[in-house]
Amino acid sequence: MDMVLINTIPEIALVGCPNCGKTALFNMLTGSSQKVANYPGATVESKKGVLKTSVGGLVRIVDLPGTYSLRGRSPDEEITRDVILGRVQGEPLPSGLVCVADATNLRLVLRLILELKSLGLPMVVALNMADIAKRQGSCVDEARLASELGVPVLSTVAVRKGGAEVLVRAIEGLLKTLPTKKLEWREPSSDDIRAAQTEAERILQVCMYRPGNDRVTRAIDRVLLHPVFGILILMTVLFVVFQAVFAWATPATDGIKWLVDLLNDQVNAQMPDGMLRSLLTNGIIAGVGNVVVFLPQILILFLFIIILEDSGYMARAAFLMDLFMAKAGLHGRAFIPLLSSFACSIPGIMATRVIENRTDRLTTIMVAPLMTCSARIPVYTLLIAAFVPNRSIGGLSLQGLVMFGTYAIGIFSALAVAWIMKRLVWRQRAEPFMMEMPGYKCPNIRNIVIGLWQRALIFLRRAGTIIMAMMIIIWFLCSFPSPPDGADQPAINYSLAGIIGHAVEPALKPVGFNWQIAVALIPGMAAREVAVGALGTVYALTETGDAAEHALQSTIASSWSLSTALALLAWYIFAPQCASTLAVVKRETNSWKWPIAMFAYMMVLAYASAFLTFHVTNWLVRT
Amino acid sequence: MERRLIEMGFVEGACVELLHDGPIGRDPIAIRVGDMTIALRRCDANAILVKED
Repeated sequence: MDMVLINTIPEIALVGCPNCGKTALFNMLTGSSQKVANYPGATVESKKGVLKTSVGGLVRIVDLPGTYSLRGRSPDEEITRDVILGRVQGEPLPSGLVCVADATNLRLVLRLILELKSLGLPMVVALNMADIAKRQGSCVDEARLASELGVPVLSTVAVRKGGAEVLVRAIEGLLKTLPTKKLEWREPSSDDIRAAQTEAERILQVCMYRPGNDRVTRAIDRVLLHPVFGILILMTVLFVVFQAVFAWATPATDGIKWLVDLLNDQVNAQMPDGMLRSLLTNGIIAGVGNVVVFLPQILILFLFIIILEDSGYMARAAFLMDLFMAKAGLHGRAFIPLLSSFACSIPGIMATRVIENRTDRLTTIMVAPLMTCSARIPVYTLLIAAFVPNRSIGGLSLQGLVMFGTYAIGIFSALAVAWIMKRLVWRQRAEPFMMEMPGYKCPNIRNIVIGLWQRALIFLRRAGTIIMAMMIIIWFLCSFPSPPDGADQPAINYSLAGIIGHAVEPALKPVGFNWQIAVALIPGMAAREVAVGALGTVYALTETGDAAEHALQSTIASSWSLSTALALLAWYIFAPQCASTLAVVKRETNSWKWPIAMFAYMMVLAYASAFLTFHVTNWLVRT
Repeated sequence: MERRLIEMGFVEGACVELLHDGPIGRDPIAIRVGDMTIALRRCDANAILVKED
C-alpha cells in the first residue's frame, strides 16, 4: 500500500540561474530527506528530497542544476532542460515548476522565466534572497509582476527560519493546477532571444524594478581582485587549504589507522589462525580501514570548498588563476583540486566537481594523480636514502634536490598531459570562458553541514564499495594458494601474486626490475605506500618498525643497481599504483571508460620513463 | 556564442562597465553588465562592440 503511494507522489522541480540560492531553498524544503544520485549515463548529479505539506501530503522536490537558458550549453544545463521536458529515461515529468530568482538580479532570470512560461507547465516564481534585496535597496511591484507573467510571485528567504512558508503553500496550489498546453520547445534563434530580452525589459519597467546596489561586494573586490594584494591573499588562502588537507587531517587519519590496528589485534587474539582470520583482518578490516581513512581529508577539503563557493570567493580565485591555467589547457577552477592532489588525489578528484565544463573537468581528473601525492613519499624516501649519496651541491642537499626533481617532473607531466588532451583528445573549438561573479554572501551553516554529509555518504557508498572489492581481490591474490609444507621462501612467492609477478618479470626486465620488484608491485596496486611493506615481505625481512626500514634499505642498496633504483623511482612518478584512485574516478565520471584510460596511459608513461631512466643511467655509469 | 552573450545580458542598448583586469597580462576582465558581474577572456570580449557613454 505504502509502495504505491510513494511511486505516485507528485514531483516539483526547482529551476533557476546559478547563484540564486536555489540549493539553500531546496535544503530548507527537504532537509535531511535528500538523496543524491547520478542521472542515468551522465556525470550530473540528481538531488531529490521529500517535502511534507501543511495538509500532510508528500511532494517530491527535485533541485535541477542551475541554468541560464533551456538551450543547454553544458551537461548540467542539458539535464535541466531534459527533465523539464520529460525527456529523461525513468524521470517523471514535473507536475510544476518553481522558478527561483535572485531578487537583486531579476533582469538576468526574467528571460528564462518567460522561456519556461512558454512551456505551459504550472509555475510559481520565488524571489529568493529577499532579505539581501531589501538591504541593497532593490524592489519590484510583485503584484504587477504576477499579473504580467500570469503566475503567482512570492518572496522567500531561504536561510531564515520560516522564510519559505509562503512557498510551501504556493506549491500546494501548484499541485491543483493543470498544464495549460501541450509541452513543446524548439531551440531559439538569436532574434528570438533578443525579443525575449526586450520583453523582459518592458516587464521590468512596468513593475518599477529597481536593482540592488551591492556596494559591499564592489569594495571587497577592489582588494581581492587587486593585481598584487589579490594574488597575495589568494596564495595565503591556497596555502591554508593545502596545510589543512595535508596536516590537519593527520590526527584523525592516524586515529583511524590506530583503530584498525586495534581491531586487527582483537581479531588475531580471538580467532584461530587460518584463511577466515586472514580474510577478516587483511581483507575486510584492512579494506574498510582503507576506505574510511580518506574521510578526514575529504571532509576538510570540502569544508573549505563549500565555504569558498557559497561565500562567492571561488569565482574570484578562478578569475585570478585563469590565465595561468588556460595556457596549460586547464580551467581556472582546476587549481584547488590539483593543489589538493599533492596531499592525496582522491579528495582532489572529488573536488573537480567545482569545474562545470565537462571536458575541463575530465582533463583535470585525468591529470590529478600525476601530482606527487603523499603516499609516494615513503617509496621515494626509501629509494633516495638507499641510493642517492648524502652529499651537498652548492649548499643544497643532493637527496633533497632529487626529491624536488620528482615533484617537478610530476607537475610538468600533468601540465603536458593536460595540454595534449586539450589538443588531441578533445580537439574542440575553445569554449568561451564566461563566468558569473556573484555577490559576496555569508555561508550558511545548514548548507555546509548538509553538503559535507552528502559528500561523505556518496564517497562511502559508491567509491567505498569499489575500493573494498579491489582490496579483497588483492588480498586473495596475495594469500592463495598457501605455501606448501616445508616451504623455504616467503609465502607470497607461492601465491597468485607471486605467480603473476614471476610471469610478468620478463616484461619488466628491460626496465631493470627483478622478480622481487615485480611481485611487490602486485599488492602495491592497492596503494602506493604498500610497495615498501610488500618489498619487505618479498625479501623475507622479519624486522619490524624502524629497524625494518633500515634493513630494507641496506638489502636493496646491496642487491640492486643504481639504474634499477632510479628506474623504479621514475616508474613510481607515473604508475597508477592506487586502486582507490581508479575507484573514485569511476564514481565521479560514472563510467569505467575513464579509469581504464587513466590506467592505460599512466602505465605507458611509467614503462617508458622507467625504460629511459634505466638505460640512460646504465650508459652514464659506463661512461 | 552570440546567443550565450545575449542570454547573459549583452544586448544592444545595455550598459557595460569595466571593473577589473586579470593580474597577469590583464586577462581575463570583469565586466558589469545589467545588474551582474561577469568574467570574460579578452579574446572573447573582442566580439562585443561598445560605445563610450
